[in-house]
Amino acid sequence: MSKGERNSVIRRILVALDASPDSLAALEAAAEVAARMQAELAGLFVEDVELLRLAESPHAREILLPSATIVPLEREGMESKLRAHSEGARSALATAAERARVPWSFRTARGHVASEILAAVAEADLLAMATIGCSLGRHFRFGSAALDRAENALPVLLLPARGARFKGNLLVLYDGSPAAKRRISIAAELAGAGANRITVLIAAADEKNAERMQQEFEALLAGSGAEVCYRSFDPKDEAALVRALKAEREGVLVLPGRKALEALPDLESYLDESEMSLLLCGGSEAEEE
Amino acid sequence: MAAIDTTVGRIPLAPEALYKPCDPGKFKFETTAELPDLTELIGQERALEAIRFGVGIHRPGFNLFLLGPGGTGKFGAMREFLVKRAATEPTPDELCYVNDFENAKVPLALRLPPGRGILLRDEMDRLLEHMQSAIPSAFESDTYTARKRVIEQEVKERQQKALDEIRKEADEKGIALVQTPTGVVLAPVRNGEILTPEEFEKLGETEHKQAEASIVEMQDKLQAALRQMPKFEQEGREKLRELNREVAIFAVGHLIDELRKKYLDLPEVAAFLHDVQVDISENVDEFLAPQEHPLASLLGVTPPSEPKGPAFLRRYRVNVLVDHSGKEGAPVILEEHPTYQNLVGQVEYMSHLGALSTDFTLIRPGALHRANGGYLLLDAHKLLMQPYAWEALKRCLQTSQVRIESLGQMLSLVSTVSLEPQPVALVVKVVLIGERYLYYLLCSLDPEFSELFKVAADFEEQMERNAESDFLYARRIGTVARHENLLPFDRGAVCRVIEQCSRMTGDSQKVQTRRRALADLLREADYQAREASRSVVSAEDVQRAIDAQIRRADRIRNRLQEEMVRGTILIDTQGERTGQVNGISVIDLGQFAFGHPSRITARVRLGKGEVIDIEREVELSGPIHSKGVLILSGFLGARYAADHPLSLSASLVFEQSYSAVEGDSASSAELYALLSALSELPIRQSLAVTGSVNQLGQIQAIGGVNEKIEGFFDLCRARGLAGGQGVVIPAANVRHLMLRRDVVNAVRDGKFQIHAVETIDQGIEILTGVPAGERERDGKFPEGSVNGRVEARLIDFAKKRMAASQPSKPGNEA
Repeated sequence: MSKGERNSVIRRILVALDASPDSLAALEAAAEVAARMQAELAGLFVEDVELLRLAESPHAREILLPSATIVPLEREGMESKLRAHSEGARSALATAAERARVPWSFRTARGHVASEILAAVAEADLLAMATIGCSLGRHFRFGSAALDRAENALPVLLLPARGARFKGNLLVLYDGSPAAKRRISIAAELAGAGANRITVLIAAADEKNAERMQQEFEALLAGSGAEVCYRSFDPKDEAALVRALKAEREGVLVLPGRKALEALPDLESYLDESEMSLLLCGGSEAEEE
Repeated sequence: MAAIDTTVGRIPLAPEALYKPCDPGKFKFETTAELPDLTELIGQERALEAIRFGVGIHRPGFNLFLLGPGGTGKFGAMREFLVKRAATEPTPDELCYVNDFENAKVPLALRLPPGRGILLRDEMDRLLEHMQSAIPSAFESDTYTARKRVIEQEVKERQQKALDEIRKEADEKGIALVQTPTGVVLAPVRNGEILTPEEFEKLGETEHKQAEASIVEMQDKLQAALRQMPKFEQEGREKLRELNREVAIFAVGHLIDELRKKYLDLPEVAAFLHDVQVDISENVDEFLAPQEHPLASLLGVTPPSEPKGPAFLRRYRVNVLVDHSGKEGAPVILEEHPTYQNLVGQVEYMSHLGALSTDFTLIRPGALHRANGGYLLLDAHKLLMQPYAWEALKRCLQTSQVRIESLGQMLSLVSTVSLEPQPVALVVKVVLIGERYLYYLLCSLDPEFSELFKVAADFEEQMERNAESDFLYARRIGTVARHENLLPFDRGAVCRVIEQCSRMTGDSQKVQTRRRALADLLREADYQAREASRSVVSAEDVQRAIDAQIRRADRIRNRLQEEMVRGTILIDTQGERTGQVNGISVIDLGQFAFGHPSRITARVRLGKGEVIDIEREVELSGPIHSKGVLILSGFLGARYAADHPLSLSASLVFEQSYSAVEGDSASSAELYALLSALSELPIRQSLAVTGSVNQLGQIQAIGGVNEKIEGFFDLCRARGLAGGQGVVIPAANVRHLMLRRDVVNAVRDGKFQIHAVETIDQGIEILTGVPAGERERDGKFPEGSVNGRVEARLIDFAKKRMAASQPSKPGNEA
C-alpha cells in the first residue's frame, strides 16, 4: 500500500461480492461508508475457476439448498449460474451506490477468488467484505492467509452477515502503542466524514495511565469534531473489554489485525455472535514497528 | 237543563252567564311569593296512577307510553318521578368490552360492580405501561441472552455435528464438500486437492467405481442430513418460544396474578386476566419488536403513528362503555336524539394510512346500554322519525338484550370487516312520550306495540275549575315564577291567569293543565310588568300580555274584518233578508283562532225533495258538513211533509267561501235560512247564528263558541254597535262562555246580545220575530206562524208537483 495519501483519504472502497445474502448485506454497509467519505464503490465478482472445473466432471452432482435436491452439475450450467450471480451483484451494487449517491464501478474476473481479490486491493483504499459464517463446505473465496495479506495492504472492513449496518459508532481499542495511534487516525477520518461518535476503549492497568492515555487521545483527535467518550479496562481482564463492548451494542470495532483476536478468545466469541463490524488495520502496525 | 231554562229563548243571556270570573277575594295571599312550591302535577291523577303502576311493576312488556298533548308536563313529571324512585334503587353493574383472544371479532362483554370498570381499565393501563418496559428488560438480561445463546448454539451444534460427521466421513473416503452459488458439490480429492475430470478419469477402474460409489453414498447422507436441518431449527424455535414464554411470565406474571386476586369475586374478569397472561406469553415478540411501521423504511417517510397506540397493546385494554362511578341509584337516561346508533350503540372506525380499521376499543355505548338496570325516556315522535330505531328498540325489548350491529352491515351496504360484540342482557323500563295520535296509530298499526308498552298514562289537558284547583293553580304560578326568576304575581294577576287558562280550554268550568302554555303566559306577563317598572305582576300586566299575544297573531283576522267593513266581503249586520243568515266559522291558525262571519243563503223552488248543498257539489264540503246538510232534509220531511211528498228543491251556499268548509256548526244557520226562504219571512241580519241541529230540531253544542261570538262582535263594533246585534248560540254552550271583557261590557250596556236556544223553533222566533208555532189539536200549525207558513208552502209545492205529474186529459189536448 502506498501509505500517506491512502491512509489520509479513503477514495475507493473495494467490495468483494458473490451475490450471497451475506455479501449483499456487506454491500449496504460499504455503501454507507462510501457515502460518508464520498468514496467510489468498486465491486468485484470472481467467477471461481475451481467450481467451473468441478462442473466438468461427468459424474458431478449438486445438492441444491435449501431443498437438498440432487441435480446433475454441468459446466454450462455452472457458468450460467455464475453469470447470473455476477449480474445480480452488479445490479445490487448499482442500486446501493445510487442510493448512497457515490460513484461506482463493477468488474467480473475469472480465476481463484483470493488471488483476484488480492490483485484488486492494489487499486483500493479499503476492502469491505462479509464475514464468513457457518458453512457447509470448503471455501475457495478467501482463506485466512489471504486475509492476512489483504490487511497488510489496506484496512479491511469485515461486516457481519445479518444486520450489517455502519451505525457510525466507532469503537477504538487504545493501548498507547504507535499502531493504536494509527488506528485512531483512521477512526478520526471515518468520524470526521460523518460526525460520528467515537468510543475509546482504553487498555490501562491503572487510573493514572488511563488518564494519560485519554489526554494523548484527545490531543490526537483535536479538531475532528467527533463526539468522544472513554471507557477504560484492565488489559489483563478480557471480560471487562467484552462488557464494555456489550454496553455499546453496535458499531464498528477498530482492531489491529486478525491475529490480535486470536489472543482474545472471549472477544472473538462475542464478536461471532454480535452484530459488530470489524475494521482491521493490521498492516500499518507491522510497518510502523 | 233546568238551571239554563231561565236564560233560554228570547231573553238574552245575562252578563254573568258570559264569563266566570275568578274572585281575588278568595285568596289570602298578597303575592305568589308567599306560596309554597308545587312541584307535583295537578289534574293528572289518572296519569300519575298509571305511572306509579307502570314503574312499579317488574314484568316483561310493562313499559310506559305517556300520551297527551305537548306541554302538559309529561316529560318533567316522569323524569322527576323516576329520579326520585331511581335514587332508592340499586346501582346496576357497569359494562366493559374486552378482547376475546380466541375470536377477536366477537369482543367479550364484562359486567362489573359500580366503580370497578374504571378501576380495571386503569389497572390494565398501568399493567401495560409496566409490561412495555418490564418485558424488554427481562429479555435483555444476561441470563436470558445466555439461555437463548445456548438454544441457538445447540441448534448450530446439531447442524454442525451432522455436517461434520458427513464431512469427516467424506474426508475419510476422499470426498470433499464444495460450496457453489446454489448448493454443495461432492468431489473426489487426492492430497487435499480436488481432482480434475481428467485426473478422475485416469483413476483405476476399482478406485474410480469406489470414488463414484462414495460420492453417491455421501450425497445420500448429506441429503438426509440437510433435510434434518429445518427440523433442528424448528425444535430450536420451539425451545426459544418456550423460553420466551417463561421469561415473559416471570416478568409480568406476578403483576397479573396480583390483579387477578382482586377480581376473584368476578370469574369473568379473572378469566379475562388469565387469557391476557396466556396471550402475552405467546406473543411476547410484539413487546420486543421495534414499534415502527413496516412501510417506513420502504417509503423513506415516517408514517403517522396509530391513533390509539400499537394494536398489539390495544388488545389488552379495557373499554368501559358504562361507568357508574360515584353514582347512587339506578340510571335515568333521556336520549334526545334517538337514532339507531344512539340507541343500540355502534362500532366506530379509525382511519390510518387511508384504511379503515376497528377493534373492541372503538365500541361505543347506546342509550340502552347506559339505561340498563334503570329507565330510558324517549320522545316517541323523534324515535319513529329515525330509520330503524323503532325496530331496534322493539327487538331489544323482545329479546331482553342489546346487540350492537352496524346499520351498514345489517343492510349489506358496506363490506368492511366489523365486530360482532357479545350481546348484553337488558333490564330496562322504557318510557315513550308522545301525542295521543301516535299512541293510537301504534296500537292499530303495530301489533307488537301493545305487547311491549302495556301501560298508557293519559295526560289531561284540562281539569275541573273550582276553589281547590284555583288555589293549586296559584301555587303553580308561584312555583314557575320562582324557578324562572319571574316577578311575583299578585292575587289579581293570579285570577286573570286562571281566567285566561280557563278560556284556553274553551270551557268556563275547566282550566287547562298545559305547563308550557301557562309558563309562556307568565313569562310574557313578567315582561310586561318589568316594562312598566313594576315589582309585582298585576292583572293589568297579564291582560297586556294576552292582548299582545293576540295582536301579534291577528293580522289575518284584521284583514278579513277590514274587507267586511269595506263591503268586499258581504256581511250585513243591519236590516232583514229572506233566505239569508249570518253563520260563523272559526279559523284556527295554530297559536290563534278567531271567529269569521259568513253569509249563508238558501233558495227554494218546486222540486223532488232534495236539499242541494252547493259546497258539497263542488267538493268544498267536508263529510261532517255534508252530514249536517243531509240532516236538514230529514228534519223538513219529518216535520212538514209526513203525509205528502216533500216537493222541494233547495240550494244552500256559503257565500264568498273559496275554501273547504268542515263541521256541522252551521247546520242550524242553514236550516234557519231554509225556513226563512220557505216561509218568506225575513231574518234579522243583526244576528249571527251558530249551532248544529239534529233531525228533531234540537240545537246541539259546537266548538269555539267564544271565538265565534267575538268574531261577530268585532265586526259589529267596527261598524258601530246599534243595540240589536248579537249571536244565537246553543244553550249547551253557555257553560263554555268565557268571553272577552269588552263583549261582556257591551252586553251589560245592552249594546250586544247573546241568545241561547235549545230548539230550532226558539232560534227562528228570535231571528224572524215571528212565533214558530206548535201543532194544534187539528194537527196544523197556527196560520201565520213560521212553521205554518213553511208547511203551507210545502203543501203547495206538493200539490203543484202532483198536478204537474198527472197525465193531461185527452180532451184538453184538442
